[in-house]
Amino acid sequence: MLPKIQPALSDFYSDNAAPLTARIFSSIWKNFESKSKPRILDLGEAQPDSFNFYSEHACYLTISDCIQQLINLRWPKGDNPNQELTEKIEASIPFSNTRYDLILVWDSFNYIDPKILPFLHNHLLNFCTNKTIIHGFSYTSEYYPKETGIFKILDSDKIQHQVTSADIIRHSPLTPHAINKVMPNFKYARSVLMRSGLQEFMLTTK
Amino acid sequence: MFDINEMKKNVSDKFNKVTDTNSEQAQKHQIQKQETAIKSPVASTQLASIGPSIHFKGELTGEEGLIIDGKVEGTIDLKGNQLIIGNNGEIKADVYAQTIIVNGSLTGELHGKEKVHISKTGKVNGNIFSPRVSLEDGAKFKGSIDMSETKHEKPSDKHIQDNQLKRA
Repeated sequence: MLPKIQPALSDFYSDNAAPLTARIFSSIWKNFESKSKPRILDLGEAQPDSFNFYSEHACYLTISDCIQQLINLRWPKGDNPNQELTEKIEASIPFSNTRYDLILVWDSFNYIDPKILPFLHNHLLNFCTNKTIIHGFSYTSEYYPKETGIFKILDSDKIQHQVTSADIIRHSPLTPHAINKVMPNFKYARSVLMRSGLQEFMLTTK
Repeated sequence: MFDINEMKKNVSDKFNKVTDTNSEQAQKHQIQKQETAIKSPVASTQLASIGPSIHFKGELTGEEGLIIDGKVEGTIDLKGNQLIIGNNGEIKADVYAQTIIVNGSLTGELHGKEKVHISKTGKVNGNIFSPRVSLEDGAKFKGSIDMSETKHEKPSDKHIQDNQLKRA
């Protein structure tokens, strides 16, 4: 039996919970204010609140809604697992001519198999410039929600995080070192630890 | 004894009652119609419609509003008019219209000169070009959105040919 996390996760992540104060996201956005049309690649699913935010800032936006697909990926048993994985990831985020300023991965890195992450890294490089930023969240606690959360951008410094499952799992926390290892062309540039144990981070290209 | 005056009175009373009932029903019917018209943009704007049993392949053009509850594959060009994809609508097409409302499923490019709206039952897989884009909670969307003011009209065949010549 897993011990209970105190305080309960629902105290932090629910409709009634106060939105997260996303300091890093806010600072990234401040840098975009001079840009006429920031280009955003959101790996999560479409959220009306976030949509309104992107609309207000006249972004060029791509919603790839691929997080669940990436989490479901397992190491292939075939003769050429590398190629098979590459093809599956390419199908999740189809190629385009666009290079993005910001890639939002939310909490997906906590759930994607660490063996799969380097393949995601390789594919994401196709969408990056030398100034692209990857923004995400990692759990620092050993126990965290069993499923990925829903993130809604309410404002440049306010993000609502809702857990979709009350169940928790025991997992190795995703350390900055681990992220640097699976994302070799990026560096763990900045992070902010929140009261809930969730850590906001940003990666910049090396 | 037969009293002609009493009979006239009875008939007159009955007639009045029937008329009252009819006018009440007519009034109710009228109110219902008005309410439906307010709730449904389809009734209020009298759009042309493609029913659920229709399967169309090719280029669909028109100069009036349209609601599609059937299947359409190809291109839809309604110029400055409204297009509503009904709950049963399944579209695999590039769409050009003034306003596009998606309640069903759509795969392709959406060019909304004024607005594109995806309702909670809507599912869109493709790119949207429109100055205003909104979606409801529960709506599914995968693709890119360009909210610039351009690219909302279908390029003419001549324009396409010119571009091809330039490329050649």
